[in-house]
Amino acid sequence: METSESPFVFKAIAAVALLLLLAPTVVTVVAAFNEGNYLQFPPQGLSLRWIEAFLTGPLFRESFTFSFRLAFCATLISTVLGTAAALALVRLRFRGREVLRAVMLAPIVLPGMVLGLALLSFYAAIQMGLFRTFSGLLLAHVLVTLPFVIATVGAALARFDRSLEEAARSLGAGPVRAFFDVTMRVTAQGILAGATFAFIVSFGQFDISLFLATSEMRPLPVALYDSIRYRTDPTIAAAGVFAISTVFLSMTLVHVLTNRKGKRAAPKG
Amino acid sequence: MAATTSRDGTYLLLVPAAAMFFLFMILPLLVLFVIGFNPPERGLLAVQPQLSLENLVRFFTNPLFYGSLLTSLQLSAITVVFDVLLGFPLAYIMARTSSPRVFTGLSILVLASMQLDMTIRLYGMIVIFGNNNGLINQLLVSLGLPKLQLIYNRTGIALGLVQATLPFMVFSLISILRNLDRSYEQAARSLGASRWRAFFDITLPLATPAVISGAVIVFSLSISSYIVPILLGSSRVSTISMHLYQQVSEMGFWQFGSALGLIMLAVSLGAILVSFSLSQRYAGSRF
Repeated sequence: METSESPFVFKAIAAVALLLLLAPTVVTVVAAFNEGNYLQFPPQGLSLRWIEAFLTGPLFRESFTFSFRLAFCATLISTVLGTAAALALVRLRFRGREVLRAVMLAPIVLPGMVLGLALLSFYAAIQMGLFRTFSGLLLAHVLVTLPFVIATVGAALARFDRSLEEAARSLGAGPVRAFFDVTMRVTAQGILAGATFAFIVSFGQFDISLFLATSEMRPLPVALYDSIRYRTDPTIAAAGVFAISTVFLSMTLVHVLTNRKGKRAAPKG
Repeated sequence: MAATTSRDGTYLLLVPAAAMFFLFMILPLLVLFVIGFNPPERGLLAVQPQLSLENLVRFFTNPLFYGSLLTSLQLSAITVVFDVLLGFPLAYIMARTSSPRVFTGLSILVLASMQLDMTIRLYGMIVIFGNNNGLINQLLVSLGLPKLQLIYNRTGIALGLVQATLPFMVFSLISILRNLDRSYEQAARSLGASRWRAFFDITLPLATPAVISGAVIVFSLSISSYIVPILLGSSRVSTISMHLYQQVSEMGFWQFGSALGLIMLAVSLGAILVSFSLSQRYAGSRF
């Protein structure tokens, strides 16, 4: 096979691309453990003072826990709603299915800032307790995480062999039982991957939170943004290290879950 | 595939999600649309019955505002070009590698870089490209070269946008490059075409729909990005997103801000429609 013979120019450009993608993250981690107020090259010495500043100062820690709570709630809701919708979209053939699908994936490409502004105006207009409240922010996060669940679970379900569920049905299982005992078990990896995706997307969401956050409810990205506008001390980098670890762990999990080839989770009794 | 009847209630599964999108995406966008066409009234966040074109007229007659749209369009176009130039080789290598380990490793790196908090990535960008203490300028000074102004200008915004959007381009390209039928390319090679000839005549045209769909995502993300221009730009370069935030949050002009939002939305949707018709045309002409 003439596989790994990509042209040299390609390799060189790809290296530049990877450098641009990863260097900011690497530099942030180094800066978090750096001694000085700004990063010097070569680094001046190791220190945990910025990590300590992050852990002892209330500012970022509160936002970190708030983001975690928000992402957790958003993930729960959008995993349930998204899995149900993905199931129906895979199974059903009806007019307008493609349109519905496009609508459900739209938040990925719609400008988040515009959606945030639209939601804020809408909440103000309907006056149903969503304006500047946790529920309002949570619903916005559910909206932007849903497409990722629908796409990921949809892909997993498309690979699922429908005949297994039909076998269960023909053996007397009801549709609900057949779903939980067969479909759910076999596609559990896809659902878990979708949930992890939702968590990450909510955790890192900035654009939609920009207008919906308040000073009492500030997700981490908004808190980091507020502080970086006025000063760039490495406490931000320390907060970043925690966010980076969360994302890397989850991404590895998603990748392991979605790329297991041929090995289906065998239903265990 | 046999269609399932609604007898088993599969349709009901769609209801919660569909309601979610209707209530919290479509209705709010309609509210935004109406407010964008309401007469401007400072500090008022409400739907008014009167309609007016005042906000749009203000936008298209004031060079400060329509100029910011042009700046945003220009920066987004530059971003798309650099994303294709940098992203294609990376996606190509990932798609063609015979080692699953290389593929997995690179995928995780690109995915993780896509999902990392933007503020943190931009902090890293400031550390690297900073005009005074940035690593690149420290290096230049130690080599006895003059410092470069890399951020807090258009260059900075473009660098930040490429950093932010490149993973989306890479993933759009990978999915199609992995599934490309390589027999066409091999046929061309066996008929004597050079590797580059085969690449430009066969592989690239086949990948064009993916380039277009990646370009659209990158374009919409770039045109609506607020955090990149606000952190890596300066007050002298204003993008439409910066005006939107300023009009709404700092000045209380909800109607004008909504109109800016509608223009941003129209540009994104326009890009999607253009790409859709383009990719239809390409899909039609593919062998």
